[in-house]
Amino acid sequence: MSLKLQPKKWPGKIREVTLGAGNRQPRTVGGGNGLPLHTFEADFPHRPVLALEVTDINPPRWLDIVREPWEGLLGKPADAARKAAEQYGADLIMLNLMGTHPDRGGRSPDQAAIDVEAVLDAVRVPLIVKGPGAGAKQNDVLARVAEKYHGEGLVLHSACQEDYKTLAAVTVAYGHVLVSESPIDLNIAKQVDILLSDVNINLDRVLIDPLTGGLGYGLEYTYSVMERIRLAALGGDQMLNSPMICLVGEEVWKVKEVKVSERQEPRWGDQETRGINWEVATAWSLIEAGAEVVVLRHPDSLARVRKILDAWFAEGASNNTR
Amino acid sequence: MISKHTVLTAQKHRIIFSPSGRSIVVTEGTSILEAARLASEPLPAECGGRGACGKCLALVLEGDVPEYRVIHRKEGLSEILACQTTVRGPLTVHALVESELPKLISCDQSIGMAPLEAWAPWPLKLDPPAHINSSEDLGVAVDIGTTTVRLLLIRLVDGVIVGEASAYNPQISWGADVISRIIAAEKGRLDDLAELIRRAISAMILETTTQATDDADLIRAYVVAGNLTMIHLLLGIDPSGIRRVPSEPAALAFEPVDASSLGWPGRGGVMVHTIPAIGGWVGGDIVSGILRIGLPRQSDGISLYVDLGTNGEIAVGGADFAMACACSAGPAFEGSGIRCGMRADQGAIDGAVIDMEKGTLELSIISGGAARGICGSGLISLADALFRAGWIDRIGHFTDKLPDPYRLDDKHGRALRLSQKKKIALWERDLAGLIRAKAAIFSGIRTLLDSLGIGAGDISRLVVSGNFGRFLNLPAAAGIGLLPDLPPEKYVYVDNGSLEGAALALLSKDFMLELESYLRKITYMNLSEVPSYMDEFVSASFLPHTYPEKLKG
Repeated sequence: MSLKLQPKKWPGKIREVTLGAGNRQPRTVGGGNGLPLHTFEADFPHRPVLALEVTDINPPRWLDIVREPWEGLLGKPADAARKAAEQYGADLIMLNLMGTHPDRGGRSPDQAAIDVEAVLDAVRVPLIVKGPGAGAKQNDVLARVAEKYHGEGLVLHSACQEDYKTLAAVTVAYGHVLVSESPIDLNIAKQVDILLSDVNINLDRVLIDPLTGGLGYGLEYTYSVMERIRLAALGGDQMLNSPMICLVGEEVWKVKEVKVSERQEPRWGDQETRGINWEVATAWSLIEAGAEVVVLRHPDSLARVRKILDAWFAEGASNNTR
Repeated sequence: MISKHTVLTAQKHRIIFSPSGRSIVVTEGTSILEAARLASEPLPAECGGRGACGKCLALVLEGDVPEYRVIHRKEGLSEILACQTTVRGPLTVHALVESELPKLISCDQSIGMAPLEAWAPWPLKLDPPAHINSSEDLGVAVDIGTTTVRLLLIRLVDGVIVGEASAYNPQISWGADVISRIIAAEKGRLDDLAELIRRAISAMILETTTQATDDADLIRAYVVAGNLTMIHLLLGIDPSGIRRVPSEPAALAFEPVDASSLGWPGRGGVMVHTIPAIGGWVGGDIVSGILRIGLPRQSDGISLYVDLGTNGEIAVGGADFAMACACSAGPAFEGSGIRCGMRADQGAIDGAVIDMEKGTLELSIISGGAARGICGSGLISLADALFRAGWIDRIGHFTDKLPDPYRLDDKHGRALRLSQKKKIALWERDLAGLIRAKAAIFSGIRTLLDSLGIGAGDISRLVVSGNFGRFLNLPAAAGIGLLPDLPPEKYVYVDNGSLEGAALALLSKDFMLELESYLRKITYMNLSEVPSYMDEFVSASFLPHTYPEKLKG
């Protein structure tokens, strides 16, 4: 006698959101109609995608171990992006415009636009553009970039509850995708999406960033909030069914367990291996919770997460009970 | 051998308050606010004297104050904060912000009424808790609120109201909220606080007996309802246990005390009864209120009782049980904590309508005339009208639809201009305060309903009570998600459930007995111990709600 598993059917599904347009090779994420990675009972037309982070300036705080793969390319976003896409196999690039922050040189919106243009010329994968953080400067920078490269389907990171109107307007006007950010809170995630749809954004152009911490630094809060967002979406909530994006690299490469060298803490072992393990463990946990776009810093982490994803989806396809 | 001590005698100075003329001699180094308290000069200090609220701003007409305390100079005179400025010589000071607490809008409509006919939720017969000697004998029902005190003088022989009075709670000079008052009591001011409220009620009794041409000595009994802190302070009992965790009040119910011990009139052996409480934060005021609406005798369905004040109190239940909780709504509903906020008084904006076609805003103002500020009900009406018109978004930020003539940008942020001449406006941060307040109330309601496994649609009757509730625009309250959105026929308004319940207890021993027995059926829920409360609060911090369906079903 064999046990027949009944596949779980949900009334809702995740929205499909297409990243990149125009000169980009578009990538679509979302579309799943079951819990994350439940390939044995649900359809997932698109796999989670993996991005690598490049920066407009030489990032002052990056650890040596994560600078190494980018030797000679830090602060040269176009070259770094080319390497990320061609050699490291990134599905898309996140350009972190950290240099526009007033405390990090305060590069102008026009300088930022030059960086974006260089990256757009260098690669054809979709581009996530991250501003310097909520505030007037973020709006100036991202609005300028959005306007200048209209039609490229850029992913603008990010709008939040207190400040969403400017970015919502340019997203609609210039055909981009907007990340709606919330502070690890299910209700606020939904509130931002409602606010965005109130100003006529089609939610097929929105990704949710639930915010996360690295493994050991509050990851479990994000995990359960993402789980609840996903359950609400599958239950039919039209304001919570956007795909989710997680910025893993910037959280992982600042935790103590990654920063401490082997010399200081011999029992913890090789620092680089440890850092990559930390990034992979964090990223995979968030994929299990429902992340569809994962932004990493170390190319080896990307290769390892990719390997797990490939194996998972290959096995899932052959074990499909339906 | 007698040792020689050098005794430093502190200098004493006279402080005169203008325009009341009250004066007091205090020791050098005393703050002017402290002097005002000693002189019974009602100088408001909502922050309790921490230098935060700015309500004790005063002009020094004569005398000398430390230079570094001078905030501003006007025609050669210094403006200072009374709480921050110490006395170092004789002074004459003039309070700049509402030096005399305004009288409440009188509500004469209850004189001549018979509570047993008008308010009794089930048939009650006249049977006061005191022996009646003459047809002239009187009883007094009092509700002590954190902000306001109300009193009814009732003729016991026929149960008719012959006088009424209302006043602001003079303890306000020790802070606007119960916590500040408890802290003041802990700092050794318990006797002062007790004295203030006792004297204020004495004055109200005198005022009403004079007005009713009755003799205060004919008073045979008192019944007092109020939150548990107010009752502690009235009786001069240390309230510090209430604010500690876990909340441990000295007692929930108190034996009646002799009126003369409170300095109240009444010839020999006249007792003051207090309505018992359920918990530290759910006091006799709400017990009185839910008895007033007849919860113990409710034949079917479930009632929701909401008392909207600085401390919001909520009860839900029926004949067999009730759940009750308290939530801190903050002072927004009472017009405090709002830049142009004021109490529901003459000149307060208490309603608003937006004409969508013309893009104009019509205001209604208590007693007409020029707008002086916004009261709680005005705030709710404004928020609802602004939201409906799309002039604000769901988090209370102004949108591009706000017409230019109404737009105001200044150092406090963006605002809605409400008056051309004076700077009366509604800022985004005021709206944020209102949204927090309404979220506190609604999430309290939701948490109680959830604990019973029911939704808003299962409520057969929603009773709104409170000084503030009297002016409340119910559709607007539902529109912003303060209260569930129920058909109008399900709403009931009680002017002051607590006071009316106290009046019934004064006239009927049965009512008081029923009240005492129903107490055991009330479960107190401490919201800070409910894990889902924070989630409910965040989802309610949105207009009208993150899950609007929760307002209905």
